Amino acid sequence: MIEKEELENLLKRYGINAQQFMENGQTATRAMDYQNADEILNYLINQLHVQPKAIENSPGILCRTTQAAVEENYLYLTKMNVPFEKIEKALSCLAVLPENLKYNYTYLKNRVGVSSFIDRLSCLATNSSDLSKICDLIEGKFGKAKLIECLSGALSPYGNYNNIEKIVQMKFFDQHPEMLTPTTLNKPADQVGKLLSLEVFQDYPELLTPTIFLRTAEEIEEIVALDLWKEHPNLLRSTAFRKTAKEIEGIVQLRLFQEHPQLLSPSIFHCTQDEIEEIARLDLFKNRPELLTPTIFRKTAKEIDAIARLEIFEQHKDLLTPFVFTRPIAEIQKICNLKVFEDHPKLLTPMIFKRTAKEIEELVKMEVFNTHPELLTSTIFLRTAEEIEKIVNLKVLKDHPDLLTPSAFYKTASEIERIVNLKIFESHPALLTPSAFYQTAEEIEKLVKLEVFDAHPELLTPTVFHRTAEEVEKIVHLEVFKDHPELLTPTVFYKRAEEIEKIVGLKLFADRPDLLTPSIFTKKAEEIEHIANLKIFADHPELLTPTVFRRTSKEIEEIARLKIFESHPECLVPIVFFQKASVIEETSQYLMDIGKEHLLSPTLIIQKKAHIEEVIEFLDAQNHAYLSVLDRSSGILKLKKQEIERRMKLLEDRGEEMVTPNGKFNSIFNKTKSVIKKQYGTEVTK
Amino acid sequence: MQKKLIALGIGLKAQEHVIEVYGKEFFQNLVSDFSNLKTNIELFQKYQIDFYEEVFERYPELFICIPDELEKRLQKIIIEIGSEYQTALKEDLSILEQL
Repeated sequence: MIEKEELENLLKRYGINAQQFMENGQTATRAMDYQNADEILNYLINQLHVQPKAIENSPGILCRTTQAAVEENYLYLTKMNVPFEKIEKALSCLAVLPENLKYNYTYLKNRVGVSSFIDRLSCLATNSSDLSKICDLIEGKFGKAKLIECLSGALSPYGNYNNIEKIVQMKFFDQHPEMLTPTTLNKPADQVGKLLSLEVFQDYPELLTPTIFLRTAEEIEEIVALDLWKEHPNLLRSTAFRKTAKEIEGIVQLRLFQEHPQLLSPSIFHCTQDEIEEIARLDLFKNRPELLTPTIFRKTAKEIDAIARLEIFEQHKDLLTPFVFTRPIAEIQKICNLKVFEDHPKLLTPMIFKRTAKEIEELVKMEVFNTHPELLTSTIFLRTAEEIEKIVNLKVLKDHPDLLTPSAFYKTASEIERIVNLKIFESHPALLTPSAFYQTAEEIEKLVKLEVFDAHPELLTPTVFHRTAEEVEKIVHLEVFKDHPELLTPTVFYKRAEEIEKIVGLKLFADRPDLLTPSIFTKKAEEIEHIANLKIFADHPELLTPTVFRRTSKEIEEIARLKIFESHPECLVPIVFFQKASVIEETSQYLMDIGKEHLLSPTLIIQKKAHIEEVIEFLDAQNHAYLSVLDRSSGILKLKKQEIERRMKLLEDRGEEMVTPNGKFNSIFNKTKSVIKKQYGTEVTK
Repeated sequence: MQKKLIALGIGLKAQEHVIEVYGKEFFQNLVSDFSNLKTNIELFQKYQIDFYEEVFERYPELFICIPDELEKRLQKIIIEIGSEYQTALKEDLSILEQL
């Protein structure tokens, strides 16, 4: 046996946190020999370069074994192509007799396949003589899937067939097989029985989950009897059993929760008091308070900090949402490194974290997106590839092809079928649009029956599906619509009642009531204020019209920065904010390149370059002189090339000139189709 | 949206025309505030400019205007042209460029 002080010094020498090591293996330290432990540590740290943290987590690796056995086991596993990271995560499996490890590996490989235990290598350390008996017992009673699920609990170095048999034979598990987990099987059978018969679970059946096996029956009783549940009944969930009664009290009383009571949720019991305090100290939450939600307690402070510092979140701040903290950091990194986002930058939204990197790659490669590229948006990440395949092949969507849009992926195939087949859409076919997939079938039925639509049938449009029936009721009865009934249009359903009140209450609208139009409800209050405060509107207040709120502040700034507006400030009028900066830039550059800078006007620069170029090249090919006629009648550029051709043909048939004596194009290019038909006796559209 | 526009008298060809000349995003922005667009179409109907589909095709930017403002501008043009304004506009749609 090794003395405590000796062990501490030894561990320290190899950079291992002795306190953590001993906390994880108080019993194990009793079975260590100094010389052996030193040799094993030397081999692991200096030759294999194992992380000290991995040794802290597996104190068993230094017990009842030798460096030679550890090495032989390691070489065997690498020969079997087991990755180093997997071995590092379950070092204790190297501490068994080499012949045992080899037997266990071969046996499990043949029985459940390597992929079933590669992430639970500690099960290789089980007693070989019990191995087949334990497997037969569990698989025989609950099937192979349960055996695989329970491998790490059933097959551990401390596993005992007799104990496992007693647990597995308990009648309770016949009715509740979901309660049989690795933690259950690691517990003495008498404790399992005592826990299951606790009276408290009759009063609180929802607390009866596998987490109870983390505690003793006495501890559970002490926890449930805590006074604090009276004040915080929402916290009394089985997650609480991850902690002792004393720990729970300490956590709930933390200052962080006094200041941010919204954080008090059962997930806080995933952390220790120290861990929570460390999280609270992070600078990240000072800059991004909106990230302070209960999901952060799924990670340690170090992990949160590491995630927030990932390059992708530096570049795309909007990708870092509270949901990210529910995902493993390795997976987040894998997702962030995916090449698919270089080809499809629009897919880079917080939804990517709903899937694994592998699933994302599989989804983006799906064949359906070759024929339907418009479906390739971030909503695909709400479903698996298999589910998407099912959805796109639904008969109801073949019958209603306009419903096959990215919104369809908000629902499963069966939910889509239910929604599309709702009777209400027979009497209101106009409501059957992709927006219907924002709600459940039950909610749609509730919504359509609302009394408000009897008085205001014009409000019953697909936009209403952005809200629940309860929310719609709240919105239509808002005070603001009594004072401004003109604002009550279907657009208001883009926002919740509270958001509408916040928007209407903005100071901006007290000064500029003309900006308060129904379309404003497509934006958030913060974004509205941000847009109104942009420098461009301070310099050009006449540009601040309701139109600009259709764009994001970034898009507005991009448009305002265009060089064309430096040389032609007269072109900077509200209408240009309807177009993309790139279109304006391309068209105006083209006109300048061909020496037609004098034609630049707001209505022309919002047209696509491809169209303008096609018409100008066509006119030039007909007669080069037409280009100078264009200077006096550029309205022809509003027509498509084919339309100009057809009208030219009519002129030719009638022997009329293309250009009038005053140097303008023939008036046929400005006439309506009906007038042309009347005057020329033929249709101009064919 | 396509169907709703058709119901208002803006056919598919006119919609496609705008998309071809101005691009899809411009068109989507234009129709995103449907109630504004509808009110403006109703304005053209009110002044019996029944060829508004062609106006939409060639001058879609007019339908972005705030309805009150568009009405004022329409009234101004009508006063300038006189009672035969429908015929005059049919003969020369470019008059609308002044709007």
